[in-house]
Amino acid sequence: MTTEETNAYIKSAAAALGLDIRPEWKPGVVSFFEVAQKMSELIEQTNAVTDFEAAPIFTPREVE
Amino acid sequence: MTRHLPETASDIVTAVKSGAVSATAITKAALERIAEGNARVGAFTDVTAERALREAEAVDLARKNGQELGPLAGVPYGVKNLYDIEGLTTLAGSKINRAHPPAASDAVLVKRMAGAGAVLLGGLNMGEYAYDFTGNNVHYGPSRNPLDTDRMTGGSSGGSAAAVAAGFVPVSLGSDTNGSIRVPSSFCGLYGLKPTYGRLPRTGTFPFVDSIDHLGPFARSTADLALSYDVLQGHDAGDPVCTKRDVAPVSAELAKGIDGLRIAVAGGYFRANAMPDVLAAVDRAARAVGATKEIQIPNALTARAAAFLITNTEGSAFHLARLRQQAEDFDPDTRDRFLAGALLPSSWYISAQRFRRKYEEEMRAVFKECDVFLAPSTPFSAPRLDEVTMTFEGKVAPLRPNIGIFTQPISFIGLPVAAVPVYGKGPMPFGIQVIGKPWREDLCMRVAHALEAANLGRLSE
Repeated sequence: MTTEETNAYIKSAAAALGLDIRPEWKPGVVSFFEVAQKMSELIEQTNAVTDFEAAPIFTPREVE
Repeated sequence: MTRHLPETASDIVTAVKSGAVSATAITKAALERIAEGNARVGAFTDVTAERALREAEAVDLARKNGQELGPLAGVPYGVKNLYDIEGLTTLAGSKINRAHPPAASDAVLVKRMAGAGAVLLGGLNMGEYAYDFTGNNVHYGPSRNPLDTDRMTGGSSGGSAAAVAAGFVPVSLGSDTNGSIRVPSSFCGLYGLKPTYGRLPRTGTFPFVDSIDHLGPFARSTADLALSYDVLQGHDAGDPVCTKRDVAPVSAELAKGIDGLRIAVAGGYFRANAMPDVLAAVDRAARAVGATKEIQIPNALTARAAAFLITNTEGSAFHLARLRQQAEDFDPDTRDRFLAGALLPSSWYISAQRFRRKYEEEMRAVFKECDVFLAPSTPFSAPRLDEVTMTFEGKVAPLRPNIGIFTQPISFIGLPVAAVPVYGKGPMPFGIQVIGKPWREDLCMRVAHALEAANLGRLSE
């Protein structure tokens, strides 16, 4: 994403979630979002998404 | 003349059981130490003096009546303030939680400590909502490293480490999602145990990241660490992740030694990103236990990335209502990360969870080559409290996110780790992670005990 696209995404997603990101907080939020994006790119370079199931297991409990 | 009182948990139990000293005397002495020194290190946020004296008197009365005492009879301890303590508000290091009502009952692990005869002295400082590697806290002040109070304890269980390293208590309880027991153990020169994910029930603690939250103890010796860990085990239905496996006590395992164990050292990522003095400490530990084989951990960098995404997404989703209504009340050091985490696409999170399974598969292959392996806990020793950057190989990088680079890829798949302090020529220690196969805390503790016996204290110049 370009910087403009990241800013636009953050603005829209924050609105959708009802989050108020004050101007003084925004540089930090953008910076952490960009870190997360780079992290996600590392994972996408592996075959994890196509060849593995997610780890969490939900076990329905028996009803007495 | 001041009477000398036992200081280790093991010695306290022996003395209290024999009647050589009362639990009340031990408790009063601990309360005096806290009153005298807590302002210096910022360990306790609440001191439960009345409760402590009540619990100690109950131990003394039980002895007087000829009743059998528990395995931690009279041992003073504290808990990170994300554990519920009946009658106290569970702060989890935040200002926001101050408005919550007091906890109606103790966390399950606090109940187990009490059942074993331990004496609770209070709640301990921590990084806000456990999203921290430093031990700093804007609301309650930093926990300070008792070895050098201008330095960080590490976090987020900073107060838990400070209380033990300062000698206030012999054991404490903390939590570890990405390194929050192992990092403070490293910076403060302590033993810490992050058990296998799911081993200890988290019931009655304020959560951070369900997928990777762990609880565990700190101590100044492996014997005390084992003693406390052994009373904490056992299933509890209140935590859906908690195992139904039989408890596996480790105290009696320590003396078995390390003969026959295949102990390796992590190479690659775990050597490329550490300061030279940290690597020297790892090598010193490896020599002490005869670990000559270097193993490669595949995809450790990606594992750290996946742990970051799961942490950021789950933690932020958990705090979403607070982020909507009270964002200004968060610690500035956590607020921006939580806000960013609330906005991440769900596919990034799901992919990270899928990668978790892939990485577990790869690590299973690693454990065909060894039973236990060693890795540094942190890439450097405790930084000064005001440090915000680090210099590595001539490059300046932000300090905070780099503190957990060696712990995150391990807790991500829930491997058990015993943290062990090792010194070099300087006054500050380095932590070594003794990492084991899932559910084999016993092997981690045997190797940790061997390292302790090797006496890897400060080297002469």
